[in-house]
Amino acid sequence: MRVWAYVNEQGTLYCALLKESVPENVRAVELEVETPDDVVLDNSQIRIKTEQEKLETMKRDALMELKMIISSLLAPTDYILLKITEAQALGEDIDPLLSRYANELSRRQAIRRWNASMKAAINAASTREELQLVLEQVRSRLTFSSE
Amino acid sequence: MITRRFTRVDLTNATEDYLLKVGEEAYISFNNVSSIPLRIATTNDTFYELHLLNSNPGTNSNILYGGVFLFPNNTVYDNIRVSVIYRSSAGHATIYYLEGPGFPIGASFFVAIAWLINRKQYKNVRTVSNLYGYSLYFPLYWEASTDWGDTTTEWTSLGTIVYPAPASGEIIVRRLM
Repeated sequence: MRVWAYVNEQGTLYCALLKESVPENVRAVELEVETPDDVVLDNSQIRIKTEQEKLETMKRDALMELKMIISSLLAPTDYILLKITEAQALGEDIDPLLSRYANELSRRQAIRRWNASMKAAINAASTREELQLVLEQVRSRLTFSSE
Repeated sequence: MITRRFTRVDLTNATEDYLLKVGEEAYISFNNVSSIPLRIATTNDTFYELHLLNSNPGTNSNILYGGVFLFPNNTVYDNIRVSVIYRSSAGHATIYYLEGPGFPIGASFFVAIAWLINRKQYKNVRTVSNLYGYSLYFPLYWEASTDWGDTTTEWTSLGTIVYPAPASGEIIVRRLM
């Protein structure tokens, strides 16, 4: 897509998506980009992100998505940890709770192991295509908690 | 009882902004494009309802990952904030907060309804959308509320909708106030 990037009086980078949306008295740079996010201001120069920068942005978003998914997978069993913590605080024996919730605790450990492996795979991806494959794995495990 | 019927204006091939009157609706059809200028002028103290229907089938083999955004004034600003509720049919919900340059109205292939408020002190878009084509968690219900935190810039053009890749569909925008 085509964008017209410019810097306003406050030094902030903006991208117009239509040429006529560029304010008057502003010098805009016309660029062909994949998304408006691809434009950056670097030492007062407007330029397109490098492939490495695009990969880093995608990794940041992927890690955030993974974090959200992990959080949603763990949340339904968070109450178990509260019960155990409360029992500990009251000096009670927690073994009956560990035994009662053994399956849930084991599933939480599996989720955390999966989180660690996905995080490592995201960080290790060397191209956006490689990262896309990892993301597909992440998204395909959204039903983890029901397995 | 007063019955109101929306008068339709086809803005599919519009080349300049049209100011909808209260009770008018704009219709926009788009085909295999990633950027759709709505070509609707807007002013302070107005309120709109936007319907977006993708015609792409959205199967697992052609799924399009990534957010779809409305950029007010056809410009990517850096001072928009968003909170999102994200749910799936697999029985768990994800709630998260995002900062970004546009109003998110959906992701991938979806149907959405959005309500747009244009007031100088309160510019907001709330969206309810259903994503389709994602494997294993289909349907996926998603909603977002986004404030444009800038109270000095005027919202004069409803904006441009941008997809991460070419898409097809139809848009209806109704002016309610």
